[in-house]
Amino acid sequence: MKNLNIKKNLMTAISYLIPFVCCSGMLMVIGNISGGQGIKDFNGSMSVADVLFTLGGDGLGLLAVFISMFISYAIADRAGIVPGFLLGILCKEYGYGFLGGLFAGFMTGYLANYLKNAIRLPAWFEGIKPMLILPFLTTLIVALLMRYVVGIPIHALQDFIGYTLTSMQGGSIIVLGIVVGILSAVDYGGPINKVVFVFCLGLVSEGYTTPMNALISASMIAPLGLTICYFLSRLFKRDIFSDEEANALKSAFIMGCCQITEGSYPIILNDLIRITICTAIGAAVNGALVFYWDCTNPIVWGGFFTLPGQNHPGLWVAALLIGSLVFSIICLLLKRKPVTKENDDEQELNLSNVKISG
Amino acid sequence: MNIIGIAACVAGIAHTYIAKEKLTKAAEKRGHTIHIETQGQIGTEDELTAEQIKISDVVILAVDTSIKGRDRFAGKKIVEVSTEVVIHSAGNLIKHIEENIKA
Repeated sequence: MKNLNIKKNLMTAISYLIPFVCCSGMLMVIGNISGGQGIKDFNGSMSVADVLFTLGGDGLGLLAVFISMFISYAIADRAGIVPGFLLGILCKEYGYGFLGGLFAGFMTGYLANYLKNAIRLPAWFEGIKPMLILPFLTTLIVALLMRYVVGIPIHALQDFIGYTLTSMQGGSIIVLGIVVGILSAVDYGGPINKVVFVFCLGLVSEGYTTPMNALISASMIAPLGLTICYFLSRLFKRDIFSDEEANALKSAFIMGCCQITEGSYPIILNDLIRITICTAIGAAVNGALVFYWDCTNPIVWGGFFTLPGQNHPGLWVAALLIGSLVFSIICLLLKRKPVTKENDDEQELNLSNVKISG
Repeated sequence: MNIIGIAACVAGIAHTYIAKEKLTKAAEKRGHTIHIETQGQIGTEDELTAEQIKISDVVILAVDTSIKGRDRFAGKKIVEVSTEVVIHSAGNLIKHIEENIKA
């Protein structure tokens, strides 16, 4: 299982997917602000705003296609593109959705890779392999598998998730919010966050946008919370930020507003454990509030740029600010001023994470 | 030692470049020469030259995604870690490599 590299291939696909999601989302936002609507009948009249909204919306509708193709490409390189794309379309059209796209991408990728090495042809015939045999066989096999085997449990799973989410109320909604909030924020845009992102993206394509909305604001808790904490520390004359940190905070804040948590790294790394405690608690509060107030929004990335898409922009911002405030108060109590020394106090190297070969 | 390597993270805008910086600082502090190529969202930057690869003693891959051009390092000693390992303990990683790889 280890050499299947599932995580690395999924992360590669997400890496390709992020600009696609941002771009489609932004088109939708601009279209939405200027009063555009999704157009189905292209014979009628269409304003510029409609064009943008429709383009973005239809783009996001292709999520299943893109995730399938990107995963397949990450695994099998060129040989993965065509089968991944075609299977993605099957998932979109037959309602296997994003979840189906994930499975289809892995199946086509591994199968294409396997066939690439397994099929041996005489040299004069070799040219036909990448041209016809590989894409055709891979697509045929996986398509039939999808349609008659794998697709059935996927449909069932989708119905189950949809049913669970819509029937959840009160306490369990808040618990879900806390979990999504913590997991989204706790590794500052690292692999845990990206796994939650995939999960939320799947739900968005099924029409449940609250989890992604919680992820968006939870990702902004650390930078905004640190900024508030800095001003609170000045107010209460607690000397807990070094000059370098105060400097780094400027770009951290700007990046944070655009939902890029990584700008806060220079500060977080000085005091990883304490600040992560603050982040977890702040993000939990934020997640719970976003779910409790049922803030939805079709835009899947962009920090404050998602505001035009929010159904309750005020409440969403309130959830964000309350979470950040909780963060900053705890941070104010926990954080110490970093001691400037030749820092050899970095983390112990976990040797199981190091692989030497060759 | 002559160290070369690649840094690549998922979003390709932050961890990649922090990893590069941490590795470069840690290696130079311990007196090695180091060249790190970044494969971020913007594409490949500071691409390793054939000469750098040829004279290198070890390749450090600080990567969370699949990378381009891995075949360039055929026959080299390769150390593969996630960007997180490098960001948290670049110095210890370099030390570990010194102990385990004789130049």
